[in-house]
Amino acid sequence: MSDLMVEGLVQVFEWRNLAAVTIGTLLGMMVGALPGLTATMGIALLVPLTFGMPADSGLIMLTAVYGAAVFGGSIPAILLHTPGTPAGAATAIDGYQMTLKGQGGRALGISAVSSATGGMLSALALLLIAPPLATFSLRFGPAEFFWITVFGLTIIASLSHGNLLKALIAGAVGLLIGTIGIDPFTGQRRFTYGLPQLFDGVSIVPALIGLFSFSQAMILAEERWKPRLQGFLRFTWRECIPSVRDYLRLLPLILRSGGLGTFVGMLPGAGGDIASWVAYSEARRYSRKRDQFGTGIPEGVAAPEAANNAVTGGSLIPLLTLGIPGSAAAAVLLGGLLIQGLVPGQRLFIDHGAITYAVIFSFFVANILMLALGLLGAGVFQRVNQVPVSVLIALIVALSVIGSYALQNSLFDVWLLLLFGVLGYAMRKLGFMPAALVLGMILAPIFERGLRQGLSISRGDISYFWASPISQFLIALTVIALVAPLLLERFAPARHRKWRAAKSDD
Amino acid sequence: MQSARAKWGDLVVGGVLILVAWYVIDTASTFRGDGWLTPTALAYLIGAGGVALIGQAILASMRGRTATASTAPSTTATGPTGLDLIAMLLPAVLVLLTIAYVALIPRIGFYLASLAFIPAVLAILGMRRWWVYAVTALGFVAFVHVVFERTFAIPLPRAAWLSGIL
Repeated sequence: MSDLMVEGLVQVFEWRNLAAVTIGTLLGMMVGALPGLTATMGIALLVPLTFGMPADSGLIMLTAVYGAAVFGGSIPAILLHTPGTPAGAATAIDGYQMTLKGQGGRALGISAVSSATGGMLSALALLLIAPPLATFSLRFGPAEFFWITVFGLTIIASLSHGNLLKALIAGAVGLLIGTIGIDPFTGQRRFTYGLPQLFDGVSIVPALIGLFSFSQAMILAEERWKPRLQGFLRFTWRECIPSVRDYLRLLPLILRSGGLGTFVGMLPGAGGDIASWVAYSEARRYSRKRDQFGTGIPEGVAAPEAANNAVTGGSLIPLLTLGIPGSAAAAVLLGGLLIQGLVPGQRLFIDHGAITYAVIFSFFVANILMLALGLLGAGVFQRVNQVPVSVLIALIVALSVIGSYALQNSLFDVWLLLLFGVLGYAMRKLGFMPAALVLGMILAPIFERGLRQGLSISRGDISYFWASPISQFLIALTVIALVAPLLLERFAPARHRKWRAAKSDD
Repeated sequence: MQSARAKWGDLVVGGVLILVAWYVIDTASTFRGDGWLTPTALAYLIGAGGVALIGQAILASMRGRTATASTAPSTTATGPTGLDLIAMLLPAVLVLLTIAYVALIPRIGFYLASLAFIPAVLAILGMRRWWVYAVTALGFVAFVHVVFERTFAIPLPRAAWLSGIL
């Protein structure tokens, strides 16, 4: 351990930095737990607060907000099927089903330990392997980014829940929506209808809140005529603490998803939302319980939560070493760094080594705090149980409206929320997957940029797309991702096949 | 087995997708450079998806007719359908109320609009305890004020004529 590392480690345990990490963790969890407030927004709003703070304390608070907000997003995702942040959307699938089965406390506990483990794994990666991996990501060109998105799109198949055609249509519509706005290559407006609010494309946050939160409020309103949903949110804080057996059983999946999240976090443009979907998909793809995903199983919570929290550390690797943010939140953090006079790059570890290592070590502390607060805060979370469904619906809609507005102070975003809310409701009623649409929207810019830049560089020669070894590796990965589940199905153990056959008879 | 409503839904959605695809291909043909490439490729995919959806619904319908002919009808035309329609009224009313809420925000400000919207939603959803109206609406407004305006300094929409009061 170098002197700078030791100095950084000591700095973390100064009272002001411990206070900063505690406040940051609490604020982050609060921001994340409120639908519509994202980690990016929380950090952006807190950056001005750090002006008057010492550089290490300010940056420690911002990074703590980042990690805790991502975890906080899982709380309403699990209890209300309303992801607090885009990164929590994948968690909502199985987390909410666990809540409906009376295992809300267990789901929250699994989310807390998975998030903390994923976060700490990424902090370890940040500490130990940042420079070489960041250098590797520099080799990514347009063709590699194109294949990364194609690989990401294979997830749609696993979101299909038995209707691949509808999932593919939803994904294609999502990609098409992602092309709305000013064409980054020609400067021409595409499908904007003269609305300046669409020049930068369809804002993802109102779309997400609409598709997941508002449509959920509509479904709840519909179910108001049915017997009460409540009773499933009853749990004690003890239930939130996962058993050692549960944790050890999930640990390989958590570590795998954490590794995946760290890697995705390092890729510019791919954030916690993509990581959580990729991890969910991969967990499902290679699980013996594949058919149980979506019905409320711990694996469906552990995988996306470990991955989306691992993104936080992963996205800091290219940010700190190369000045390339791995996510939107990391881009805002870059602003925080520059405000404090710290210029990212190799010199950062030399000129401001102590501060940089203090920020890295604070990630471990923030994750431990997040785990403790997440597990012990169950008593607060379960109070949702005492809220009548009608109050929940009114609050979800009102919070969705304010959340969509607050991001850009734009009422246009609120109208977008309504539009996507009704679309999400209709999609659910007609058997389409809103998640596939969201995935298309998120991947669209990277997909199109990779495709068109690649074609431009190669002057239309499509062999460019499989010329580099990295592209070939990514193509192989995509093919494996598509073929492996079919092969696994064919060569599944007899017991597993028997179980599946029994299930299909039901 | 797909229900009759689901098959009709798929037929309608398939038709809408074909129309959307046709519109996108037509519009994208006017884009400069290679700006047309991605939307057009996606529109062809969406259009093909629409055709496949219609085909799937027709096939399911033909299979369903064969099955119905060979077995006695087990469901009535009313029942779940009627109940579903009643149930779907509430989401529709919720959307209409939200439209009114959003339309009111620039006119009377976020706080007053919320104080009107939340009790209205509670009323249509059957809440009859008046104190819940007051606690929910006032609690929400106070919470938003403290978190959004005080802590995060996000200015919320206010009516110009009320700016001196609230």
